[in-house]
Amino acid sequence: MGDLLLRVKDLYTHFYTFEGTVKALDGISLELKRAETLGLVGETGCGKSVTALSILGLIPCPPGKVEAAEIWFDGVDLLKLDKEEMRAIRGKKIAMIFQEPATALNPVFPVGEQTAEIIRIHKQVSKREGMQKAVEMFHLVGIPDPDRVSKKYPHELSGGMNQRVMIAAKLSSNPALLVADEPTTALDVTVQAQILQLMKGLVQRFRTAVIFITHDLGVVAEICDRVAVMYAGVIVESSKTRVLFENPRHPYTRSLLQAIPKLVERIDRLPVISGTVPSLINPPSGCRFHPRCSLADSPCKVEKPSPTSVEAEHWVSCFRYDQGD
Amino acid sequence: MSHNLPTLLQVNNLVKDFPIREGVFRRVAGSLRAVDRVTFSIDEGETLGLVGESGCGKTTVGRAILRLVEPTAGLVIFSGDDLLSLSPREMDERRTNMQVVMQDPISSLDPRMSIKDIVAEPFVAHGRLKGQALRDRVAALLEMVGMAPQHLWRYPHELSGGQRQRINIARAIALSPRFLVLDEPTSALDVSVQAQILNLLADLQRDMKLTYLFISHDLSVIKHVSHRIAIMYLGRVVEIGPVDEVYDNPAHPYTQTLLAAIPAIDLDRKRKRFLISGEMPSALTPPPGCHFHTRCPLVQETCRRVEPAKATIGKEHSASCHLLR
Ligand SMILES: Nc1ncnc2c1ncn2[C@@H]1O[C@H](COP(=O)(O)OP(=O)(O)O)[C@@H](O)[C@H]1O
Ligand SMILES: Nc1ncnc2c1ncn2[C@@H]1O[C@H](COP(=O)(O)OP(=O)(O)O)[C@@H](O)[C@H]1O
Ligand code: SF4
Ligand SMILES: [Mg+2]
Ligand SMILES: [Mg+2]
Repeated sequence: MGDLLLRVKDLYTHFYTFEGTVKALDGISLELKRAETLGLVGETGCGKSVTALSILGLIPCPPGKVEAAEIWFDGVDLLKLDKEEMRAIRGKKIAMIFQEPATALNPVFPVGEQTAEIIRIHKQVSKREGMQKAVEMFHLVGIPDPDRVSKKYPHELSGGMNQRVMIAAKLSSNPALLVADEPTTALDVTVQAQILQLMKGLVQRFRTAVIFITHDLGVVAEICDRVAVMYAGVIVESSKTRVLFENPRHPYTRSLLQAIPKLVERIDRLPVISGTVPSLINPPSGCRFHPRCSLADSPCKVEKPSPTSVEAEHWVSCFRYDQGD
Repeated sequence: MSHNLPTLLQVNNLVKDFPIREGVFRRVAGSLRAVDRVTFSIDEGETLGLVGESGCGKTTVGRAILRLVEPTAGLVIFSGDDLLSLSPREMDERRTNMQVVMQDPISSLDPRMSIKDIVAEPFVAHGRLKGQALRDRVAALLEMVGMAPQHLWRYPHELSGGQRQRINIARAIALSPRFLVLDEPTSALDVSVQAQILNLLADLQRDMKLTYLFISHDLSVIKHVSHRIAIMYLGRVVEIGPVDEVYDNPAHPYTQTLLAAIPAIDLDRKRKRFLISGEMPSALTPPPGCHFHTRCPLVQETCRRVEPAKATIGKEHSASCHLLR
């Protein structure tokens, strides 16, 4: 497939802590095409950020340990790169944005200057040209009055405005892959809608592939082409976005969708998933979801289900996905 | 619902100004109007949802009603009592009937106290129960919020976010109140845990005939829990009405944009793409006229100068916008 940009195969990331080994990722595999937006969705602690950080080579080792069959990105196996080579790729070909832009920005420099510096890392341009380009980028990400805003410090700007600054800075190198970790979670819904629309437009225009991490299935519906649902360090289901909402097959995906209050239908009680998220130090045997699953049977307790194709581009890791209603 | 039930809480023209302090001597340099003439009522057994973006004044409304911050002006009638005319002592007595549950379940629990002591504290503070009777009551409360008795001897840090919120709820209902302010009670929780807490709150409302002011920025949650809703923008209630009516037929341009901005998985939900630009202005410098005019897609000349009056849309449904006159 000529259009493939990223292929992760059998990624296991563990953390060695005093309490024991945290088996945070248990064999993650995923693929991403150029210009495609993949949603990585799941509840707190399921391993979304660790997946992203593992791909980017940003897991602190120790306490972490990253093992994978391969992390292939645009023709290179990232696992074979040294720190310097990895850093070069991170700045230029892969960019990241996070939930709290203010913490990623330096509080003591104006945002324009910072953006210009980031631009100057990749483009051999003068300070002045860097600044010009920064203001151009600010304009592109819909910052009103970019000249004036470029002289402001991060704390003088709202969360939404800082996130626009981050997007401007990170997209300035025209990366092939953007990893966005909950970029709109801290924002109000009207501002979130603006940022999502902005990102959608920009990644289309620049043909940027995106790994969009979120816990909000509504956000996935807005912006992602495909989606992978994670539970306790495993991708339990992946498909085109629309298919996931219309034909969810994994018992966890189904329960998760049912637990969200809906805008349209009205019900008195929300269906709940019994039990709680398991410890990743002593994760359940077999399918990690089995203790909470209403369909669980004997093989689920001993064997780990591997991804099964349900239909085109739709994979489910469950022995009994066809036993539901 | 509840058209023939008596009104439990009446709030009229509630105002809260916070002093703004400046300089080394923290001199009062001005004031910020966090709540601007807010009016609503809640019937017995009813849930009024209070929704709006962060900083619009929701928390301050809840706290001012309970006089956890002193209102600047207005009238609060609870079960026939004019709360603002009560002495602090008298108000303390009324507070056994009016409790609050806050968003952050950890910071509202004393880390050095066991769960048993936390839940027993309201009884001790009001000298209500002791000895075996107290122990029995605490155990019963834990059961009411769905927690096993062995949790009595645990400490807050040993509990999950959902369990901590259950403890907060147990403490809030300990003295059998009639009214709860629920301030973003599920905003810090994952959806599967949120579903459990929302169900618990619904059960308690039914069993204890509780009346709720349910504050949230999450429009799906508000839709799920409320009988009526009030939408706030920059200190003011801009629209209020029965929940289905407001969602199906939003009258105020802000309500319309807010509903259009929800990222929703109900993919076929018909909605106009009606994005607004900009962000809510600071309460320090509210715009003249209609507070929403700086972002309103339908703004008229009058809106910039004159504050719109309340217009009746339907039975119990009203909104403040010049276009509705
Ligand atoms: N540096 C670390 N040391 C130990 N455990 C970690 C570390 N980073 C992450 N984890 C654990 O890995 C799991 C996945 O975390 P994370 O990827 O951050 O979840 P999320 O899906 O919320 O982004 C969690 O159980 C978390 O506690
Ligand atoms: N103690 C305080 N002193 C000064 N300003 C405050 C105080 N509490 C809240 N505010 C301000 O009042 C406004 C409303 O805040 P709040 O009621 O917390 O809003 P919400 O709960 O809707 O997010 C905000 O502008 C906030 O900064
Ligand atoms: S009063 Fe004017 S500015 Fe305010 S919401 Fe209505 S049309 Fe918009
Ligand atoms: Mg994360
Ligand atoms: Mg609040």
